[in-house]
Amino acid sequence: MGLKSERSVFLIFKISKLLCYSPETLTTHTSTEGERESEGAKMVKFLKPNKAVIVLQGRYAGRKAVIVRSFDDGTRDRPYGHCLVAGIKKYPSKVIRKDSTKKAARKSRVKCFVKLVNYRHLMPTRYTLDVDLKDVVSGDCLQSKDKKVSAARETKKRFEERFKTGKNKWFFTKLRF
Amino acid sequence: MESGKYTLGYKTVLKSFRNWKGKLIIIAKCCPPHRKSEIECYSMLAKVGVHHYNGNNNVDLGTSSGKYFRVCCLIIIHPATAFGTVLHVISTSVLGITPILHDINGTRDPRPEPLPDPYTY
Repeated sequence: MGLKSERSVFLIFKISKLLCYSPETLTTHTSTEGERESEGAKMVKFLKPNKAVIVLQGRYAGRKAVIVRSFDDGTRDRPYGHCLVAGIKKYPSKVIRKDSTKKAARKSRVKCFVKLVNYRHLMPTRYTLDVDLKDVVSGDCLQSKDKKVSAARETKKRFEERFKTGKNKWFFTKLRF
Repeated sequence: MESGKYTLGYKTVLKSFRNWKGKLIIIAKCCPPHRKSEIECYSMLAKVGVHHYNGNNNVDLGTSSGKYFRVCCLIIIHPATAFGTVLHVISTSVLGITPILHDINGTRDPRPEPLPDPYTY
C-alpha cells in the first residue's frame, strides 16, 4: 500500500506537469474560462504540410502521400477537415546491381497522384518529406483534367529526383499489408 | 463536442485529434490492441498524454465516468473543471478503487464520495 500510494503521488505529479498545473492548485483551482483556455499543454498540430501520411480509403488506399496543403476547417464545398495530398500511385521497383542503366532508369520511375482527402481517410506517420510542391500543387490544380495531369507530372519529376538521391527511403518503399 | 469538457468513445477521440483539441486520453485496459496502438500513435504525434486506466475493463471506465454504458477510451478536452475529477479517477484507479467521474458541467464539489467497491459484494 505504501508503494502504491507513492506511485499514485508520482502519477499525479506527472499528470500535473503534463497539464502544466502545480500540485498546490489541485483542489482549490478556480480559474476563469479565459485562463483555462491558455493553461495546460496544447495539442501539437501534426497534419501539416510536408507530413507523410498513408491514404486509408479509396482507390489509393495503402499508398503513401505527402500533405501539400491542409484545410483544417474545410471549405464551402467540403465542410470537413481535409488536405491536398500528393502521393505515389506506382512505387519505383527495386533496382539491382545487375541492371543496365536503361533498366535502372525504367525501374526508378514513380507515378504520382494529386488528391483532396478527408482527414478521416489518412493515417499520419512520424515521417516528413520536404519536397517543395507548393507552387506545383496549388489550390486550383484539381479544377480541370489537364491541370491535374500537369501537376501530377511535375510532382513525378520532383519525387523521382528525390528518390534518386537515396533520401526518404521509407516514403518510396511500398507499404506491405 | 467543441464546447464540452470531455468526450467518450473511439470515434470522438480521433475526431478531437483532428480538431487539435484535447489534453489527456484515458484508455481502458481491455481496449483492442490495434485500436490502443492507433490512439497511442496519434497521441505521440500530438504530444498528448495517454493514461491506461487501471480498472478491469471498459465497463469499469464507463462506470467511473458516471455512464451506464461501456467506454473504451475517452479524451479530456478542457481539464480545468475536470481536473479534480480526472485526478480523482487516476489516483483512485491506481489505488484500486472505482470512483465516479463527476458530472463535468456541474458546479458541485469535485470530490464525490466513491462508489462502494463492487468487488466486495
